[in-house]
Amino acid sequence: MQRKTQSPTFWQEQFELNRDSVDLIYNQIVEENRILALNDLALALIQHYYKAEEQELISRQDGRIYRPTEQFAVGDKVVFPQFNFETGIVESVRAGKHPQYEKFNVISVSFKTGQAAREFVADFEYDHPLNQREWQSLADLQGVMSPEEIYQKYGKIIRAKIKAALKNHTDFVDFHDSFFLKDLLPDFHEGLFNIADAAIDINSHPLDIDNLIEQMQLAKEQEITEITRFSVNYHLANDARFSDVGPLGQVAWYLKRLQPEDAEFLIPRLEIKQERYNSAKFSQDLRNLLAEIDDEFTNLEDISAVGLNTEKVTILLNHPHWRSGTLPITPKTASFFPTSRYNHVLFEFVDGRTGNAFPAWKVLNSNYVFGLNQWYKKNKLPVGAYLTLQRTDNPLRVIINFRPTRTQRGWVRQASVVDNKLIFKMMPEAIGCEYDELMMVGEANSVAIDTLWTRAKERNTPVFEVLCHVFAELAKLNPQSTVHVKTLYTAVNIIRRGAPGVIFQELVNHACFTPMNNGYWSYNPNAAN
Amino acid sequence: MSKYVKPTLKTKFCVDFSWWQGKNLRSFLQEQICSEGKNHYDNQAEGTFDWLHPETGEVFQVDILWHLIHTHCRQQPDFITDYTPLVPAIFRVFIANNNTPLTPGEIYDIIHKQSPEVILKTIGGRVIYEGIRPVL
Repeated sequence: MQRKTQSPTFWQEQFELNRDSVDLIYNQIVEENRILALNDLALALIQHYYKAEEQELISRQDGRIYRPTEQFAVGDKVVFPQFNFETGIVESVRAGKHPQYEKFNVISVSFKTGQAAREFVADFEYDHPLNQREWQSLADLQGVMSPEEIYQKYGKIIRAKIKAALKNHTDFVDFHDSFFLKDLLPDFHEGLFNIADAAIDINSHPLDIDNLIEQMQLAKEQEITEITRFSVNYHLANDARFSDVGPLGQVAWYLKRLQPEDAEFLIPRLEIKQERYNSAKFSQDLRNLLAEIDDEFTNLEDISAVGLNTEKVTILLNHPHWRSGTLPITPKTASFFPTSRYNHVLFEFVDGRTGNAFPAWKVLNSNYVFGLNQWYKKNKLPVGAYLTLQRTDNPLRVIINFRPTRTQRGWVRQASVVDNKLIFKMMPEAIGCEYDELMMVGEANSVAIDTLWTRAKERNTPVFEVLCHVFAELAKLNPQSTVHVKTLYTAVNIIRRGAPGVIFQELVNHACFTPMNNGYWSYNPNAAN
Repeated sequence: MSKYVKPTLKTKFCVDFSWWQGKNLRSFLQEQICSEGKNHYDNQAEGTFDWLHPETGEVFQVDILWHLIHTHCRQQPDFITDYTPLVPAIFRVFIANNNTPLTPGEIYDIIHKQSPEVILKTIGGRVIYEGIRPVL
């Protein structure tokens, strides 16, 4: 008999929450009268399947467990755990023959399934792994995964299946992967949630659930139960006025009308199409530059991860994020920002120079944080500015800073639009911070550039086409006609979002581009076609 | 006909003796014997012995030359050399380890020939070479 609980196929493909399983969960919640976490439900369900299977094995045991040391006679029924618990009948017994072993027998066994008889060693007093096991019955079999081990191995997919099934079941309610029964929820007067609305409004900051329950006068702090917390959370989550903005492990309720629109929607300018690249073809030089650009669409393995023990990191402000007032979440920056798998998260940036705090958001399912638009403008930060992120004792506060310098007027590249085409000129500009000159490209007329952006998006202009155009324009600014890959990355992203790896891949794949030294490339328009 | 399941680098392989039924295993084993073993083999009786599966206890009647190679030839330094072709080298690994199942990576760690991927491509395809096939 196949032990289905031991089979990946069962959990990955066949397992579904049937009526019995739903009843089991329902009854467990009723009996325990508590909120059950999805993890606990998954383990309980695995244990249920496991025990049921053991009972079935015991009831079906029809013969002696096979062990090489045992003696068997013709007609004996033998169960072979190593062959999915097949039962066979001993057809004959003969003396064994082996240069190393003396007396032992070989039994010929026929199986119910009708296959040809197979031979097995018996009366074998020598070492064999099957002799080491103290098996009494099928239910005692070693070498099978325990429910906990099954959970470790298949827990993710089992949880997902349970969650999907219970979410579609009207008897159950859930909040943050915990489940309860709808009929067991206490009734709340609608007016209580108006009080919650007002409490958050007056506070102007998110309130945690215990604070809200107290303000709603549902219970005093020390009397708040898990069911009350869950019930209020569930109601608030299903009320369009409220928004949970807490990081993973915390619930913090806020009002949707107080949060910026972009908190719940992805910023179109940062969206990218499904464009993949493979850095295996890149030179070491290109790979190093890839990591320097700090773009969230660079493959994770191409950027060194920074752990919680690093207090401060420096990143380059690239064009897409300079334009959107955002910062990318990459392996380098991820540990600095709070996150949640359930909702967008509100946190604060603290200006490293002034100490002033301002709100910022981690959008759900995005790989950036936003809220820096005003800060970039106020400090007149250019594309390519070096920014530092620094941890504080509070994971919801991150210090941000730049490297100020004496304001100097220098010549920088500037993008503008002439005859509906993007061009570049060298223009004087005053800059008061350290920045990467190779990344720097200013914008002369953002409205006209936005029009080009929209047109490129509507036309779905390929990266290669944009790259050829900006390369030809940028080459005019340099007597050698070479352009650095960082400048090309910025220039492409002015009118079309493109990951640095994808842009580099176009450079590597097309003969019209030739690598020079130190990240500089040349372009031959005649070879572009 | 059973459904073909494409093996992966995690799939274990071993020699399936039932594949050799009706084929000349003895002739193939003769090619694997070392020179010293060949002298010894001249004095060996013809016939088979009961080969015991190290994990399941199943018995296969296998040519006695297998045992000779397993006990004697595998200890010779030239049992698997740089010049041993890939498939015979893999087969010799299984004789040496008494047909204990191994993944392509584990085979590679012993023979250091080609790569785990090439070994997988060789013994994991639809064509079975010398009875080496995935453990189902």
